[in-house]
Amino acid sequence: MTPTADVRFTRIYETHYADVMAYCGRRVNRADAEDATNEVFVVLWRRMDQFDDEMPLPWLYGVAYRTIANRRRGAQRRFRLVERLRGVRHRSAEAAEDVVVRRERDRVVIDAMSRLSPTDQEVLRLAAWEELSAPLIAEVMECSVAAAEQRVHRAKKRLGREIPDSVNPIVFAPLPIEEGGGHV
Amino acid sequence: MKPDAAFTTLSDANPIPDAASFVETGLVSAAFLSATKERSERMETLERTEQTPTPAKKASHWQPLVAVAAFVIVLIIGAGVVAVSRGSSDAAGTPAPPFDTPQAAGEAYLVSTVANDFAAYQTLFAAGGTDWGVTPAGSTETDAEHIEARFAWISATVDSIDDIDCEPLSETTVRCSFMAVDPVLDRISGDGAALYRQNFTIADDGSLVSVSLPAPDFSEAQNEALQRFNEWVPLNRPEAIELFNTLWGSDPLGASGEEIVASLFDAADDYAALQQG
Repeated sequence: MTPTADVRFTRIYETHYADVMAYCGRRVNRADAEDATNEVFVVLWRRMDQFDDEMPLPWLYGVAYRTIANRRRGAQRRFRLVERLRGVRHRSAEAAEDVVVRRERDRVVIDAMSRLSPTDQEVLRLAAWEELSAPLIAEVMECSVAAAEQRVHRAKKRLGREIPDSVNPIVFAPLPIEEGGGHV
Repeated sequence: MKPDAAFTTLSDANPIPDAASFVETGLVSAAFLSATKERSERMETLERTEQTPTPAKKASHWQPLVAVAAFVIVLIIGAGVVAVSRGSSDAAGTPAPPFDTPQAAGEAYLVSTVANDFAAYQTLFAAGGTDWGVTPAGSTETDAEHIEARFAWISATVDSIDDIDCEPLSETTVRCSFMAVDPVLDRISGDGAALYRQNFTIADDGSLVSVSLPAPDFSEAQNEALQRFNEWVPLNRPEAIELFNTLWGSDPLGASGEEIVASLFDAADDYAALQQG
């Protein structure tokens, strides 16, 4: 590696570490997110010649996507996003009633997500949580822009079908929360 | 629900709406770069090591096996995560919180597991702290009976741990690598030793708040053996899988932890005997 690589790496790290960490944190728990993020930057360091300095984030997301997928394949599959959502929400400053409503609404939508294919889930997260456009989703997923657009469109429809019409998209009726933690 | 409404609802469920707020500590990039270089070099060294021929002693008993299935991978990971050194745990007992460093907490975690000290293990965790997403000291979706049975399984499936090497990821999180010898992996592949990596995070009160899934670096031969075993078990010992799956809390526990461990060891023994035959 040349000194130039050091500079490039440092700039990308300083600019995008939080984004990659958040990407991972939306998919696995904090400790694993930190580990996965570090793996992403190790891969970055080893492949400094394979990405676009002007647009590294989709490339980093793509590495993170595959890193997490590999870890999941090698591990047990009981990481529940609901569990991670619960942990993050605990830190919010929302009023208790709002938290209950939000958690229940989150539970419903995340449960619905869990019934979709992994690819559908990922394109929806990229669009909804990373707020990526179709061309950038295409970079992450290594597919054409048209395919990315189609995937997002179809995944939205499938997600909609998984959420009952009786569920109000704004306010869900909260279920009772078990003492000491909650329900899934 | 209409697709757009469903998408809006999903957007609103973003668990980390503000990326910057999720990063607890501002890592200095120069230090991170240095650590990344070091880790990259270590990975390259490991890759080179894995490419070297396996000693004949380890390979001679086993045919290279193929295929992977989640069951055994899970099982072996579970085995590998545990165990530090039985000698140290027997001599000194399990250290208790508060821990000054996440490394001390991680080592105590491993010691408690090697010692099969469930009571000590539970005391290591902060309220709500999670071990692979399960809360050992509290209760969310997994009851104490399941947690204890799972713990029994993990504890029974590690013979030893050596070469523990930890590097801080932040003030509260450490990433440890270690070599563990897993008797189940040994039965299946003829080589139970593997390198694992695992993160440990402590809370402000010095107790464990998070233990990550261990990440194994299995050799190609080990992976192949695990894959083959995964194909064999459902066909030949389905009851072992059924029992094993009840460890994780989604179903009522199928048997005691010891009985579940015994069923899986029996399966591994039968499989090993077939391979040798």
